[in-house]
Amino acid sequence: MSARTFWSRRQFVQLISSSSAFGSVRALAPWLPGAGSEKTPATVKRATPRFAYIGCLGKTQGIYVFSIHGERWTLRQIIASNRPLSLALHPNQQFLYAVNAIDTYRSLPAGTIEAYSIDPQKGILTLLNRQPLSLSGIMPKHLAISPDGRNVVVAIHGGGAYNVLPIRADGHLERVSGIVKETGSGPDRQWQEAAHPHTVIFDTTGRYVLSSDLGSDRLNVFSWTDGKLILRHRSTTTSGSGPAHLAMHPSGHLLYVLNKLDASIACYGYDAANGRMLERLHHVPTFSSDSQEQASADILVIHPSGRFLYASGYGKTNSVAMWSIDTSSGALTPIQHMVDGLHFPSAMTIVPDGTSLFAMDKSSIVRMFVDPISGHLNQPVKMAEVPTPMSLAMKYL
Amino acid sequence: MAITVGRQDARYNTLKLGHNLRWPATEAEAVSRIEVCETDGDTADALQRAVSEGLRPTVRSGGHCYEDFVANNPGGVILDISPLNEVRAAKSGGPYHMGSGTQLWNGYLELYKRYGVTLPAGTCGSVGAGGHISGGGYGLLSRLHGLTADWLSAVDILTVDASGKVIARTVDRTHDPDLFRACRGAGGGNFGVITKFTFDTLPQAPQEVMLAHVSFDWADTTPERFAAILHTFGEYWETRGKDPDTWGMFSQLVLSHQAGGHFGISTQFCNPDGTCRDLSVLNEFLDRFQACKPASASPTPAPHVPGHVPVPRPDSGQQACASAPHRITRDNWLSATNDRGDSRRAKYKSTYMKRNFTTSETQSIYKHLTRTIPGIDLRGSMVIVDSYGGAINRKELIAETAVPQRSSIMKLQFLSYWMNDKDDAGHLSWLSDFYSDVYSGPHIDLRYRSTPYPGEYYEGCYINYPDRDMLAHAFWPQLYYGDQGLYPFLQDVKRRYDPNNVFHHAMSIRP
Repeated sequence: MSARTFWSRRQFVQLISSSSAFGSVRALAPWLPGAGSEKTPATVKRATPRFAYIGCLGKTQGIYVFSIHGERWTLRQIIASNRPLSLALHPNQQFLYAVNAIDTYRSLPAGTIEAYSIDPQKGILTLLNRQPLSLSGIMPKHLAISPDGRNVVVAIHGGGAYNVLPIRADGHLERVSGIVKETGSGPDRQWQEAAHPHTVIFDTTGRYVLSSDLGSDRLNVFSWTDGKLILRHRSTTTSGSGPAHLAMHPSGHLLYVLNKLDASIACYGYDAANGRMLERLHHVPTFSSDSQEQASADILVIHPSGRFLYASGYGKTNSVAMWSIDTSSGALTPIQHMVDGLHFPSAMTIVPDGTSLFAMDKSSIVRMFVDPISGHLNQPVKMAEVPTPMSLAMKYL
Repeated sequence: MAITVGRQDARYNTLKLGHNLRWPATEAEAVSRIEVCETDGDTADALQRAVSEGLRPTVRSGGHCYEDFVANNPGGVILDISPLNEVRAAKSGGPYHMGSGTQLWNGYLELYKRYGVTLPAGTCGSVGAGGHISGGGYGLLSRLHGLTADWLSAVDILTVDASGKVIARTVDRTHDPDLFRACRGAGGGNFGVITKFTFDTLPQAPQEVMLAHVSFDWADTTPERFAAILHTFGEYWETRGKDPDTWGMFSQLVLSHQAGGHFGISTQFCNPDGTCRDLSVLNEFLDRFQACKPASASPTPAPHVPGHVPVPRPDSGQQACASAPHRITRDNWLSATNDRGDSRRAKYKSTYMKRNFTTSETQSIYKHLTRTIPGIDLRGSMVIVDSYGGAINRKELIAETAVPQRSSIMKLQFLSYWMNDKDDAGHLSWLSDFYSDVYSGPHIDLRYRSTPYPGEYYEGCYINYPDRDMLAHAFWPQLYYGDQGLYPFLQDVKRRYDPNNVFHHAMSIRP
């Protein structure tokens, strides 16, 4: 990796200039309790990254485990894992689950899910077990763990399906207990020949599961009762838009959808009481209109304050872009567009206290401090090198 | 409206099963409901409901699937189309229509009594037309008249379009011709739900046939004598059996395990004109085995035929209920009544043979048919060697159908039947070792070791005798569909007509 040239070509496009200093914790996180008049999402809490789990598809495929002490990241373990495209930490912080984006397992067409236990001191992983997804459920894309920690829900891109797998108290995965086989298509002949579930998330009530389907231009709401997915409501996105990554606003009433095929972000109202998608409120191109190319974007994250939204993109324009969110209307205002600072940013996460954003690019993980007032990202700092990272989960103190 | 049989229905525990009782292996593998469809419209509605609910549909006509493709469908829906069993012709002379739920014995009866014609289909009467014909089914008249799929003129099929909508199609040489070709032999459960087959013409049924049986005792069968019998059989089909005057003869060499005590040859014969006026061909064939000293030329009990192989009965000490001294077995009522309790656990493998047996093959077959496994009753275990070729081997049918095997002279079925799940592993490993050994001789290309890969000696395997073990080989599609371009064609059909891969099973065409 040539970090030197990599960073030397970095440039920032500041759409709105801002200046800020990084001071006390309170200044860093002014939405923390007692930090002033900002809206205060109850879930925000001080958090120090302790371990990082990074799923890599490079030549040494597996999950890379780092321990984190301040600025120092130390590689503790590389545990073999087949195309770990999505990772999720169990709510009890003791187990990690990985999606294996493969098309064959034990000679059958199916991807798999792996369960790992986490050593509480060292953070290292031990494989508990591996379960195949339902037949034809190939190339799974994403997983979400139910808030009670008893089930995992998987979005299966290749097979066009959703699976539910129960989680035992000891962290082991049981066999698939529920299958929803999707059909559907869209106008894009390359990417929308069939249904392609992309992202699954639980809403803030934990009573509904929301999903995007890139292949059929649909957003789905499933009711979640006794570990069963039952389709409750579908809404159609713009034809050919390819809804992919989802981010629920901390308020629980706004859903941001990253449309991969038409390179846009849409904000939808969401009725959490009734589990229904409401109308589309806003729609913006992924990257600013002054850039020549609209880049395909992969990941959306919302700042825990609910005031900023970040999207990573790649293609001809490798970048992270940032918008401010009008928390009452959901409207997005473009703030920052960091071009060429990151190569192939594939995963991002924001520390729960909102002080920094970690992003993966082609061969490293970088950290950017977040300006607490403006949401601006500071210069990326490389924390560790990893080959072709695709997924990220962090465990906090 | 289809008849919906859910988990609370008294019929559920019977109708969730197929004939091979290995599946569903667990409650979790079982379907959530069975939809018994009485009309094409019922079938379309039931299919649409399943797809719209996000449930996987699998399809059953006769219920004879050898693998778990239908019954292993966790939480899904079985469309039971066995009531679609009407056999009718618009007028005498065809075209003939046959519902895909038709069981073969009823199909033979109807075609014969009404129209005097027949279909060159299989010997197991309770097999359903749907799976049999769409997988290229064959039978005792196939050397004379070709495969069932060779006679197909049109197929009524329900497909599911990209949006998830059920589409009813009648496909033939001019309407959706690629899908029509794929329905002529690629195997069931791949593209949609076939509800009806149409044949513009069908062959006249023979006026009469001769049945001959030759039996050999294992007790006095040396490896040399065993090899001589196999070579005599194979040599006939490799040479004389290619002459059209022999095509009315179909013979099965049933190589039962030594535990059964004897093995033998069952032959059905008629002249190509459907008469038995001239028996010289049959006599010439039977005479060849005189040198092998058959035990008796008199008829033995009914020939062993696939699907109706005698299963070791409870008197073999395998009673399911161990309440000795009473011998009691458990069975569902329908099976006990209609199948005389013959629905049991089974495993199958197959080979298309282009040439006579090699020395290493006969040695391996002898070895495994005389091998015993402690605690495992192999009296229901055998290899059935079917004569093949004749009218099947018309090369122009390769491009018209989805059956590329048009050069074989024999077709083998390796099989084992047993009663209890505790014996699964013993039977499965016996058959797997057996098959692997036969295809690991010095004539086998190392790349394809333990399989009959298409080439100088073989034409792979038969999709209607599917064998999941073959999935261990990356080249399994070539075993079933050859390596001359049929499989990519079928994949293309799959992507076009089932873009969401609604119809899938362990060995379905990969999109």
